[in-house]
Amino acid sequence: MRALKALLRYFSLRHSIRHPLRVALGAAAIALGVALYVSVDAANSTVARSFERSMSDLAGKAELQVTTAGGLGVDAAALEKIRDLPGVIASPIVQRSLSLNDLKDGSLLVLGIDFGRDAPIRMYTFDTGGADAKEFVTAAFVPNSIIVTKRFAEKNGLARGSKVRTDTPRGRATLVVTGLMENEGPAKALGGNFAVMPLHAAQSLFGIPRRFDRIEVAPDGIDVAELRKRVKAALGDGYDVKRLSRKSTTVEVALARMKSMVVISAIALVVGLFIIYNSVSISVVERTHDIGILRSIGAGRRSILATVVLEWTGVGLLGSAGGVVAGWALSRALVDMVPKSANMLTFAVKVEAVEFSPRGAAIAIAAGTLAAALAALIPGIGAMRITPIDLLRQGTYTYRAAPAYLKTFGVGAFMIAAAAAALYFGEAAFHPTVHLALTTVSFFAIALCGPQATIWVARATRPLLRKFFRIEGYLAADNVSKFPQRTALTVVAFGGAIAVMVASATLVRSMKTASERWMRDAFPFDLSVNATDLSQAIYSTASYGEDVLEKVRKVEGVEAAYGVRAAFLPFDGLEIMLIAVDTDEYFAMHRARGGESSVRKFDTPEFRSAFMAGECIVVSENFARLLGLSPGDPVELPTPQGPRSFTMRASMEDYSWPAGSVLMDRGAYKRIWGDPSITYTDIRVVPGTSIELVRPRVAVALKDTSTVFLYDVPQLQKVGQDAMDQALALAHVQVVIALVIGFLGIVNTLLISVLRRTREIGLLRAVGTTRAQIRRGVIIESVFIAVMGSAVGIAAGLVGAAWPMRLYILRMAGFWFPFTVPWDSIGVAVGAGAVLGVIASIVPARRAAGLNVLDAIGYE
Amino acid sequence: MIRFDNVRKVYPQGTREVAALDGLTMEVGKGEFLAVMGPSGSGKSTFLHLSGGLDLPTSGSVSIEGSATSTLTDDALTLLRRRRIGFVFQFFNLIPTLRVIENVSLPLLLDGKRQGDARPRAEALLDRLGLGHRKEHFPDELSGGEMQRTAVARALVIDPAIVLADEPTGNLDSATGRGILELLKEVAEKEGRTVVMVTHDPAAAAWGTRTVRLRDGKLDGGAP
Ligand SMILES: Nc1ncnc2c1ncn2[C@@H]1O[C@H](COP(=O)(O)OP(=O)(O)OP(=O)(O)O)[C@@H](O)[C@H]1O
Ligand SMILES: [Mg+2]
Repeated sequence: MRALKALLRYFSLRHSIRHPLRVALGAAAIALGVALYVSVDAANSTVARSFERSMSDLAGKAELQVTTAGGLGVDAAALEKIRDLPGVIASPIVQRSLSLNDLKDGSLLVLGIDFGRDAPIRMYTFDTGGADAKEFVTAAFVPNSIIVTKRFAEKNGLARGSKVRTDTPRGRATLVVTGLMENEGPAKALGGNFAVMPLHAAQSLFGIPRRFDRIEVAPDGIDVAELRKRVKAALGDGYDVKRLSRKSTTVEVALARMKSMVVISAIALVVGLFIIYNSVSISVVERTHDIGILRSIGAGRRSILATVVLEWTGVGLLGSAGGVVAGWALSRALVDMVPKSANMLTFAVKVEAVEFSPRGAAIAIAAGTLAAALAALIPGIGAMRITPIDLLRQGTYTYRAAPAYLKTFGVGAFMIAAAAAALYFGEAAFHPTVHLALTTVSFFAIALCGPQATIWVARATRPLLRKFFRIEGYLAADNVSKFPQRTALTVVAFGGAIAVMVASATLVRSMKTASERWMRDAFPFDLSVNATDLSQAIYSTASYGEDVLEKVRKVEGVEAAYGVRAAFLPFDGLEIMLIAVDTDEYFAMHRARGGESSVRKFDTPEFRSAFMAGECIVVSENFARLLGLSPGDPVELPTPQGPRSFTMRASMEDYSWPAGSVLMDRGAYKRIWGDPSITYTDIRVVPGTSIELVRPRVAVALKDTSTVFLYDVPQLQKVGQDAMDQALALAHVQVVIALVIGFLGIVNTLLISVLRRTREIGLLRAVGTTRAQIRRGVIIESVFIAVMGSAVGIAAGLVGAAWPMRLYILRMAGFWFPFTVPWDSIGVAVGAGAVLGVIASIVPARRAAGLNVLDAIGYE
Repeated sequence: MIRFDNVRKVYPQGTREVAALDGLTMEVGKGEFLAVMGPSGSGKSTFLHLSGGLDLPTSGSVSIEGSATSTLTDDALTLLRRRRIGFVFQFFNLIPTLRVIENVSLPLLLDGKRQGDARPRAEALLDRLGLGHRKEHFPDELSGGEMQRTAVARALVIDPAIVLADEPTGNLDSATGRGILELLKEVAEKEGRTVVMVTHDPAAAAWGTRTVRLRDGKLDGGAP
């Protein structure tokens, strides 16, 4: 212990103080990688936590929820069975998100409750206006009433007695605000966008007489296990009794998109790891002499290894700590972005302040520190191998014979092949983290192949360089091939930065290209009649009645129209999107539009009749991929009558919903789910008629039926693109940070390269090389490294994005995007590589050219 | 103390091999002050490195205090160097980032001694070697003689049974060299340590109790 302390103090600390820049670069690289992770994690957990808090405010004392087994909703019979159990409080609930027309911020979550049963579960505090509480409740809970929070009332200029309008499957309804809730208990949820109404009113408003969405159950003086036992016993078979979830799968799906960005921070950390690896290698080589002395006066091998590793673990720890602070600051900016894009997906997530996540910080610090320790391990083992005798023969440590690199190359190639094979065969079985780990392993494997590849490239290009750049070019290439390891590390570190840039550009481009094509293909119509304002929420399932469809069909200039019901179904712990269409019109419209679209591939009369019979469904590609389904496989979906099996007939490109979507006939949906309402109606206008002519006619026709929002295809595409851009804004921030890390790596390695060659350069100068020649030599070498790095980075970035990362995105964000090469970004990468190479060589070249000959020769 | 039995040490040099030691058999007794002489390249340094367990023979055996170095683990060899052997290198080999006092006390710290114990011992030794005023200096602020004395102090601070010195006076003027030689003699005679000194200077060799000559990795003249 004391020996280690002495080594750390006299060997490590002294050296670090002498080379503060190198230590700082290593720490900064780790810090940036960690900051990336922390910022994403903090932004995510802040949003998730604030949502969870909303959910617990909302849930009150309820612990369990009862639904029909494997189905949707629950009937009144269930309530009969448990309402009078001792120790059990049971409250039937109807829950909907509702959009009130003509209000500034009118979307809210509304619970239909039986006040007497629900009051013990949720602590409502009403502004009774001085009246007795009982009287207030009797007066407020009447048909067509809604009780909103004070915050909601203030935001929207409502007061008791105000009339609000909303659209329901049964047409337009007018509700009266009969009371206000103080901002306490459930009223705190969702930033106050919350309301309650009488259970019966909600049932009739949403068209589900005698049914509830669930029955919430709270204990009354007994524990939860006992509660569950009693409820289960009373209900018997045929019902699900589950813990009331305080998480929203919808929000989690939305957040998964953000989380998938973690992949970039992982790669940034790997680049940081290479920077540290370089720094440690150099610091070990520099100290070969000192280590030899230490070994000859009795320092043990393990102490040397421990010292080197601990030294850089310390640097990693410092960097990580700094990264946590920086990341937290960065997340303040991100937190503005994340809920915005989460809100696009669901209703109001209100974030007040960034929450510090100790768990995320701990993970980040551990990862950063571990990365540094790992990076120090190999050079540390090299240091351990230094024998006392090496002290008398410097240079043998860095110079190894070529066969050793051939072997390393073989090992690297084997690792790449193994990782690829593992990914290929284990694709579905692996957890996303394994994909990440395999990607990282491949990156290391590339580093292993580096030295030998560098020798080959340098040897191959030596004649060319000599021809074009004479002696300087020859010297540069010679230098590169003589010290392939040093060069290869630089190449790989630089390549890593470029790979991050190329990979994220590729992913972004693939997503954009695919979703743009999808939006072109998937929309065979000219105009869509929506129940919601898409600028508020793109995934609302608010709906209107079928009369809207009938009226639209009669509008002059409308050639055809079909109704779509979009709904969410619980599936495998997630929520999938169900899209039900009027089959004949839907496929006819696709045929009429012509062109290639994935829908037309399976559109046959035989298919349509099976589809309309409700026997088969079509699933989105991501759904099929996530579940490993192929055509002919059964898929079990929950229905009000319990689970029901459908045959999957085909898959189609569809990016509606990350957890996957299912397409079925609307007639079948209506029969099975008993829900005739429509989420949107899609219209094709009579050929030759202007859309702008039809749009006002539709609006006029529906004036008295329902408040609707009309969108043409370009408008819908813009909504989709905006949502995508929102989600990707984060990726851009990350790419910039990753590039900064990459640049730090180049500067670091080039400075080290010149430092290591100080003596060499001195000797060259002594035998008559001019300053200009030295300078050009450094620049050529730098650009050579940068170009090779760009090549490696582009290849690695493309391959990484094409496959392991796309798999990762599929698992995390749910989408499997066809691969698109972003040629323009690759052009930028090549240019940026060369420019960065030149910039990075400025200081080192100047330093090399300015060396004093005698000092240089005397250098160590 | 140190036994060489038919020791060969072969170094690869490019494609050829060079036998730095070629069947050397000899013994160094306890308390002896042995001077090793011979032309350049005759294997003197190699002999010293093997004697100190810094390197291992290609064939034959080198025993230090009765144990053959080839049979010891690296840890055992390290411990041997740390506790029993003091090495004085031809080119001093001080650690440039450490002060004189730190260089000298380092072997004790590596052996797990406390700062509070190591420092006074190192100071006493430096005082004895006339370096009391240089304790807080860095090596590059010292003269060659001072550096060599610091190296000697570092070798002696652990109370080694064996002191190995590779041309300790090679780079010094005669007066300074004389100081070092006096010290080594004292260490051997008064403290009973075994001292092996490589030198090419006959006058320096005369300080020893015995002189051997190496030529082409063998004893010159075959006399033990
Ligand atoms: N690590 C090594 N690798 C290759 N050859 C070596 C190595 N060490 C020594 N030699 C060779 O072994 C021979 C003996 O070397 P050694 O250093 O022992 O000689 P020396 O007697 O100390 O010479 P000098 O008086 O010049 O110091 C020389 O030919 C030398 O070139
Ligand atoms: Mg020698």
